[in-house]
Amino acid sequence: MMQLTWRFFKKSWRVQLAITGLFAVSVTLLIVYGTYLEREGRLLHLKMLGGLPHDLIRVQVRAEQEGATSLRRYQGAGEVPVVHVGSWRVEVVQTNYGNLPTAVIAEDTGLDLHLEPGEVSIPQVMSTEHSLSVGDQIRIKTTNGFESLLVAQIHDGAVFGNRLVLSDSSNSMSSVFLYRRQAGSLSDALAYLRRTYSVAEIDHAGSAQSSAQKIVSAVYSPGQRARFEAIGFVTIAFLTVTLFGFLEKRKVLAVVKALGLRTRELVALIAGEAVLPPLFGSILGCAMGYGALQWLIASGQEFTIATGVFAVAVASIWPAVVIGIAIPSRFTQVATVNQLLFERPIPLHTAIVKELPRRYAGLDVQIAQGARFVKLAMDQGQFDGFVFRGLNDYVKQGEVLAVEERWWGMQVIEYHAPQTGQITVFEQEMGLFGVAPEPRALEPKYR
Amino acid sequence: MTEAIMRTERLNKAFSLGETIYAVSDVSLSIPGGRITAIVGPSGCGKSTLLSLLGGLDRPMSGDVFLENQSYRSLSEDGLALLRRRKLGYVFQFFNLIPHLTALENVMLPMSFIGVKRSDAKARATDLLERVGLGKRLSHVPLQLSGGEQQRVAIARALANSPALILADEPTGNLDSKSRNDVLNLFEKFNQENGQTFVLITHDDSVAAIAHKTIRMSDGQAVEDQ
Repeated sequence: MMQLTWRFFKKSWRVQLAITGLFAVSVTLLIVYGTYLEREGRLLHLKMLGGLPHDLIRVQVRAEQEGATSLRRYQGAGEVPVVHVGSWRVEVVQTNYGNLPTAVIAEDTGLDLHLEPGEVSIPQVMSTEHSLSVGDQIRIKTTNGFESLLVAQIHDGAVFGNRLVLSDSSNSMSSVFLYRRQAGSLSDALAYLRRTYSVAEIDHAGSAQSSAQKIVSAVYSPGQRARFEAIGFVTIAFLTVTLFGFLEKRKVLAVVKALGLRTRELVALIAGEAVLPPLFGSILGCAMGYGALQWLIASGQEFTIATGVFAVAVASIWPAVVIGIAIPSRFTQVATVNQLLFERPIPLHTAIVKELPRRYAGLDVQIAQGARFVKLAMDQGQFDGFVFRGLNDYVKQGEVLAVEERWWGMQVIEYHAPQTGQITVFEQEMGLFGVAPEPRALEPKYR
Repeated sequence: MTEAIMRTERLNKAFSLGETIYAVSDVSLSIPGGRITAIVGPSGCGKSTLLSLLGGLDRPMSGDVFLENQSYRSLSEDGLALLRRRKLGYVFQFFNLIPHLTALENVMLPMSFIGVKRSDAKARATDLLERVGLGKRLSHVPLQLSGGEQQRVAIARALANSPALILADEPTGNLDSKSRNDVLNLFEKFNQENGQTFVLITHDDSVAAIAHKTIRMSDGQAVEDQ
């Protein structure tokens, strides 16, 4: 068997090599692209939250809910799960460093910032980018024209993101609220806040990663689509090769089937040959992907080699392998040796009819007396198939009474005797067979 | 009288060609063990269909076949496959050797299905190929062999697992007269030396002449000669 599998493989080595190459290139591209997406997600995650402290929950409301500072009455058991820490308004202000997103906090907020009027807290990113430190000044545009503010603090961006932070005594409208988880589980706190803020983005330390991934997915959706299309292409290419391989070898398969190979052994023969190119291709693709990533890292890309990305890349192409093996295997399973040897159509579907499709009131009495019926599919009183049994014949349960081929033999309908007994009804116009139970009558015939 | 190794009970098989055509109609016959039986008839009379039913290659619409009292109808597809590999050998008109394998490997193949050790299989296959006169052609692939030689490899392959019965479908139909005589001589030789049972399907009465029993087929029906 192994020898035969290997000979099959060797005989079509050019095609097998092409398929191996296709799988290798696909796996390589999936690995590199997956690593790229993973890096983008990681960087965005860092940009978005920079690590919000684990007990803080940030709520960013939409315009229609601005100013809704009062929490709803808590309906759960125990203590209210959150406590209000602070709130601020988000706006964009014009500065001498360009237009910057800014968090304008109210003076009476509970946040312990100690910002006096005329002072500003800048994010670490801005401090690094523009070499600003505490004591420096930046200029912002107010209603009275440009005004100089003293850099009093540098914040890490965890709570405010990469925003300037200003204090303003007139800030009564708020669009961002910060809560500290007080009691109960995080999910209780989140549920409570979602009830209060029906339309809002609620962030906490754990949500950052999934948000980042969502954004990355949205930004790179054309790439994701291309990835699915590539996998679809690989599936179709592989299926085409395995199907043509099956058709080319159908005579050989018929001969080994005639020599006594069982169906599952035939499937193993097909699968054994078909599985080699994807297997080699996956191994080669992983090696090529690893090499490509090492090269990209050496040339300055901030990539991290993660085994998960390799696993996902390999797992993405294996459905193609399963489909490419399953369909030819299915043909082999349903094919008789005769069909393979003499190239008669192989049915894609075989149905067995062994009962009535619906109730026929006129048969109720006979059914009550133990008779069982099957009905052939008739077309204007004609049956387009073969009828093998007739009135008064004795039949065994499961014996074929008639066979019908549809779609040029692609579908076969077999009508089976519903029980052992004698055919007491054979209504040719309706295509109705009735079998009355007479098991003793069969004994001499089938002994 | 020799005991029947195979018998059939009212075999029926029909095909659809616009109308119902019975290729095999109500055929009941018996094949004596240790003998050569010929099934003779003109083209299209249902001989090959009957052979595929006798060999368990196809299922009858109704009726049954018994090989050494084993009913085919009671066997699943896998059961039939096991029966074919252990008890039946086939010789086809167009040889049907595996083109990827050498003559030796073709003969070893059925033995690998029943788990014969590779060394034992190689020894037996070599012996069989020598007995059919191909001792010097072991490593040739089918394309490097003549029609007569390919058919002799096919006979060696059919004998590989020492089956109870060998079914041959027009075994000389594609051969020249010399090769034809060689092949027929081989059937007689293995029958006389080993008591091997053969069923030959042929349209040629001169091939049927080597048979101990002849069954004539016409329009799907069989009549046994004496």
